[in-house]
Amino acid sequence: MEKYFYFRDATNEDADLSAAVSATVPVSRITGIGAGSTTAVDIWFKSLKNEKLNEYARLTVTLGKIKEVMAELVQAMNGGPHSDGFVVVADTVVTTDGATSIQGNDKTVSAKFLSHDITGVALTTN
Amino acid sequence: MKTKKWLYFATQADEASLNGIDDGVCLPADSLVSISPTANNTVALYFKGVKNNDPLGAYDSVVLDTVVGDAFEVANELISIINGSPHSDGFIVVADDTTTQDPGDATLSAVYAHKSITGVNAINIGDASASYNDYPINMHYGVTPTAQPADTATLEVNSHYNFATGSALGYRIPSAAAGRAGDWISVLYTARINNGVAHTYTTTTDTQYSAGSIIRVPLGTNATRGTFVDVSTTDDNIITITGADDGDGGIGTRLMFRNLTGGTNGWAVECVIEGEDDGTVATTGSVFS
Repeated sequence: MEKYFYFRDATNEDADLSAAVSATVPVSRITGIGAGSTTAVDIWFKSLKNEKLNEYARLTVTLGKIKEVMAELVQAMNGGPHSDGFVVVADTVVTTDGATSIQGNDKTVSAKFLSHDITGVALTTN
Repeated sequence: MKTKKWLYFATQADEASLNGIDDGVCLPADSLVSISPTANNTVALYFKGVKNNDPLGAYDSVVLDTVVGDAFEVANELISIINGSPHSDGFIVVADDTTTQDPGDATLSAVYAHKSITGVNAINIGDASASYNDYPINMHYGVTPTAQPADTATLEVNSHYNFATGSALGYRIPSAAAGRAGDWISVLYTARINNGVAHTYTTTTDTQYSAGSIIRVPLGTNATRGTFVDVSTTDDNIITITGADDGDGGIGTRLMFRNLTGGTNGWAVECVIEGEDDGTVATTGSVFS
């Protein structure tokens, strides 16, 4: 079963409008995970549109936890045999949108992160 | 489910300096393409590109410091690790030079997967960039032309147009980020632009054409209509071609747009303005702005 990592960088679902805001990426398309700063981990994956330049999701992480977050990401790729394959790495939405949507309109929900050392996400996609 | 192995390398002694992909990286073992010595005390591991999706792009590499004479043993051990550890969670520390924790400055022990690995010499992750060489700027002859749209329309990507309107026009160029690198638009004038009339090509969401785009006017039939070039700079997002009797906007004028990056401000353009009629009047009012 293929695992897919999900990333979303929006506090309100009404802003979930493009690949620069959210993306679901097959783990097999991930090309590497690198430090972005002392508080950032970049997950690089093959271009969503098959362009020459690959793209990445930058996770904001706790200072001093670069290696630990990388290890947790790898564990998530390989773990959870009873999972449906959809792994939320970071979803910063706290307000829903759409009166007829499954979650309803303007409901407060909790942001979700794979690790307690992940606190945010930003996507660099074309 | 088969466990996917990932190989971790860190080259900074102090975790406070672990702040870039060339300081710490985790790479999929199935991206490993070769292992070879680069000196009698270094072994390089080559990986498919992290940032580069070009099949002919240079591979990335991690160079390990090793005990002199142990290149064979290191290569052998690395393959053993990649193919072994069936009960591993997949995260394999090959070499971690970190000996000072941050925050806190506690002392840590460096970790190496084999006793003959003594450190990480370098992590080399290449950048990728698109250029004119990847996506040449050219006309797309041989393509059935798309019908000329009405004034103010946004031109369609991957379309060639033959324009035959002398009166004023103002077309739009779609968002570069909404398309992909390699997208193109080409325009050929099959009729002249009327005297004193402007045709414009304005980006929609992009704030500029790719810097270094050009408007070029070849030499006319006399010295008055000399050659002219305007090179786009920051915030130039409008191309204006102003028709003139015996001057700009003649038949054969052409614009070649190419999306170089698939990202914001990715549209590069070469605009060649042919002379009209006698071709004796200097260019004027045909510029970026």
